[in-house]
Amino acid sequence: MRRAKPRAGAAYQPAAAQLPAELERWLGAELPGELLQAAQHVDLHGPGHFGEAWLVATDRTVLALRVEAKGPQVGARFPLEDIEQVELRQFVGNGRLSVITAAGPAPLVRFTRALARDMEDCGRELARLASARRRELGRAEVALAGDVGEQGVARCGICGRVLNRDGVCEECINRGQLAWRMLSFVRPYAWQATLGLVLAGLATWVTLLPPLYTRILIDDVLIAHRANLLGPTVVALSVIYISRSVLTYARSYLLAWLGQRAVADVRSMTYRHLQRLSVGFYERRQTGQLMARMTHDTGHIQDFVADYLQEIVIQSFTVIIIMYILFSFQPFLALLALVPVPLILLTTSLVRKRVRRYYRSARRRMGGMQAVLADAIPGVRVVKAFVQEDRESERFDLRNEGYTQTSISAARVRSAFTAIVALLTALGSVLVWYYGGRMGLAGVLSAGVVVMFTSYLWQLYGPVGQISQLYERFQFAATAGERVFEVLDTQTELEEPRKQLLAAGIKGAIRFDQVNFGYEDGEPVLADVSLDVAPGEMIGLVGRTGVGKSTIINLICRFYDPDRGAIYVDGQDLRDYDLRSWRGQIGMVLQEPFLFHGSIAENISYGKATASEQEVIAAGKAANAHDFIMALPDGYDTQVGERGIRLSGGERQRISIARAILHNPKVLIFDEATSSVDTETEMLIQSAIQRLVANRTTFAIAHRLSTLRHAHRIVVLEDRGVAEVGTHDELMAKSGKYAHLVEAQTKMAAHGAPRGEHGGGMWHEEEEGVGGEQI
Amino acid sequence: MSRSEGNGSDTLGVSQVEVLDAGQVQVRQDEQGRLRVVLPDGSEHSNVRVVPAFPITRPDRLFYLMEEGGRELGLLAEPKRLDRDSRRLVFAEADLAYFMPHITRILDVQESTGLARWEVETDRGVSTFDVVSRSESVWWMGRSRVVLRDAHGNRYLIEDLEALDRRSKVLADLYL
Repeated sequence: MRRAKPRAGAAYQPAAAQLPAELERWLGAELPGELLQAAQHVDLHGPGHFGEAWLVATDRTVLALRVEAKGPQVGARFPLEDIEQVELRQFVGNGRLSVITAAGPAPLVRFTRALARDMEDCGRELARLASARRRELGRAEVALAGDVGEQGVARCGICGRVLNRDGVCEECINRGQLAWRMLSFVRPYAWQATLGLVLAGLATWVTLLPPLYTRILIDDVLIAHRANLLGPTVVALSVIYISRSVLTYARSYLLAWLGQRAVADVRSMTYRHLQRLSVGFYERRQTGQLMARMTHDTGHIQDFVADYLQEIVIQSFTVIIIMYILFSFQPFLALLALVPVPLILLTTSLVRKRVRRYYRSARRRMGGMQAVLADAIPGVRVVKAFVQEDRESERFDLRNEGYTQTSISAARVRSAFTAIVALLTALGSVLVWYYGGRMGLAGVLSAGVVVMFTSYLWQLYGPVGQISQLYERFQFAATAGERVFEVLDTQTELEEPRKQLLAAGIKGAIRFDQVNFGYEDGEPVLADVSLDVAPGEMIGLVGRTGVGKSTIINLICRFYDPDRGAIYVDGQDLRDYDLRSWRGQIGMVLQEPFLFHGSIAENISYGKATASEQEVIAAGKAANAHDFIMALPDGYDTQVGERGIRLSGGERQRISIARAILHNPKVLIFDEATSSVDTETEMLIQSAIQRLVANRTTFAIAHRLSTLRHAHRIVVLEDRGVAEVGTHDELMAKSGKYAHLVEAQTKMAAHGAPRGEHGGGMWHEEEEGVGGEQI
Repeated sequence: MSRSEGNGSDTLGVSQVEVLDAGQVQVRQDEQGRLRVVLPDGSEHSNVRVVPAFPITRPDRLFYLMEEGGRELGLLAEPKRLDRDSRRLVFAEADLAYFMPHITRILDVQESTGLARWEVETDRGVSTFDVVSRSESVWWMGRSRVVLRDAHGNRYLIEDLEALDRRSKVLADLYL
């Protein structure tokens, strides 16, 4: 959802409540005495033709109307009290709203996906109206069922237009306000900014002086033969050129400095804010998008702050001063000089549109080319195995050619543009030379003034072209600003705790009390889950994918809060604890252990920066990582992470366990910690885990049930809730769901397991990376 | 479920790391120049290697003594506290195990496609070396401490970038 402030009186009205007057009149005649309650525009007719239709509800009746040439046709009609359920079904490209009555289901309207969200609201409204009517008659209430809660396309909250990729409505950005907010980043540097703009003005003024002196040189020195003026004029010119250089340097350095400083502040502020945003925020967005906001979009803000403002000053100053000088010398010639201006403006705007189209297309084609590479390079084994090298090359050539063609076209248009503008400029000077020359010959105008006129012309047309581009550049900056502000305006994590309890010193008893939670409204993942975990107990979470294992972990970490019910830690509501202090008590070992760029020692001490080297070694030993670390040339100082050496999955896993050990948390979370390693490594990891889980409340998620054999209790999740709880032996004896799962895995391992000799289970795969250093 | 590992206290003790009392360790050299070590418990070990655990960040502390076959004899947390002869031998061995000259001045850096040739003065003399991939061969260990790894795997340390002379700093700034 966008957060932009709605403009007064422009709030987005969904298609409801805009029933055309003649339909309303017709309805009044058709259903006398009934009160119109709701109307929704529908874009399909019954059999699936595009056309205008309406779903209308009064306080008694629901009606589906087709608008046809001969007048409104009733498609379906039901008394509200007969409706027992309202049903919404979403299909590909369309959907259907139906009612269910005692006679069975009956379709009301079909609609395209564009209306999916509106129709859901409409269905809900219909259910509400039917419920109200049925209550009067003492009947049961009605609900909306079916495919509800689907995410529709993001729309602008003000005008209802579909939002662009970045979730910005191009129409409704409040550009003035945005400009003001972007300027607020300059406020700490207000005097530098003022000085910079003053310098820009001065520099522009000085830049425009030389032609005036050229005129003096020609008229007063050369033609009038006043040798005594030559020296002073040349000195004056030199002073002008020197001060122009100094001013230009000072101006451009100062404003570049300002832009960099201001945008550095924006970046820091944005990143700081990003770090504090909830996990949910990140789940809704792509990494690339957020990275672009940090790098690309902040760059546009810098452009606005550093270049845009000074250019407004410089360009408008230039145009105004030149026009003033020209008109004060010879108004008629000045008018002639303006002749090419509209032509230049026109050409610029025409060419800009075309060039932009080519550039966009070139960018897209470059993307296509990169996509081919991104496919083929990682997939090189497949390409070679199927002997498709030539085909891949052709595929690439096709994209390469396309990109090149577009780029060449863009270059052609640009070259033509440059030539045309040069010609138009020349047209101005030719005109000035002709009429100015005639005036000169007639003795009305001196030679110096004519020369001065033409030199000013060359300085005039550039800024004219650039001024016409200023608005476009501002739009870029405004859109970029909007994206950055969206991040800055997003609320940071969950609400502040009510009591700010510190979690240090907790025992680690965790109780789920009737916890309900769903990521989307109307789609519960956990319903009424209750579970009592003693301090130091290890719980294994079992169940198929998507059943809510990770959700339980997310709730424990307070990445989300329960919708209803509560989680208690040592008897206190989790929401009463200070968030950071609580997370400080949680340790995590994930399936894909994440190592930061830095040394192994830094990675191990990530949760406890004050740890001594000996503590780091102790943690490495406890995690069975010490031996392989010491075998690396740089020992604990070995660089790992994205740009460091490649460690195998099992090695990374053990470093992350060492990290958790040193962090010394009260609550531990394992997510499939041993799922992709060989048996020997698994044993090393398992024994490290045994050391780690002692005296810590532990939640372990595993597909491979053998890894849960040390769990005190196993919780089998199914259908939004807990299906079975008990020890391994208890659950086996019960021969319920858990026993069934274990049996299935044993069978798999015995028969078709690809690496049966490892004797583990079905999710057994050889490590991908090779241990040790690969340079 | 075995929960015996917890031995009462749940914070892991540094005791898990076997630290040798440097005052009671004796290091000598045999005829072949290999190290012989007498541990505090009186046991004697020959052909002992010295392996620094933190060769970059703690080049003069935390050495592991390892027997042939890679078995750890223990950790010398403070090798400086060894007796004079032992200390000399251990540090010579550590220097052999991990040779990393400290760059004291950068004379020049020439960059061509994908290769940077560094000319430096180090505490071990003047050296010229090639750095191939900047992203994989330049390790920042804190704000102003940098390790460079050349094309052959040799390491060079800039202990404190800020402490270098002006020209060195400018060169380093541009190429790191």
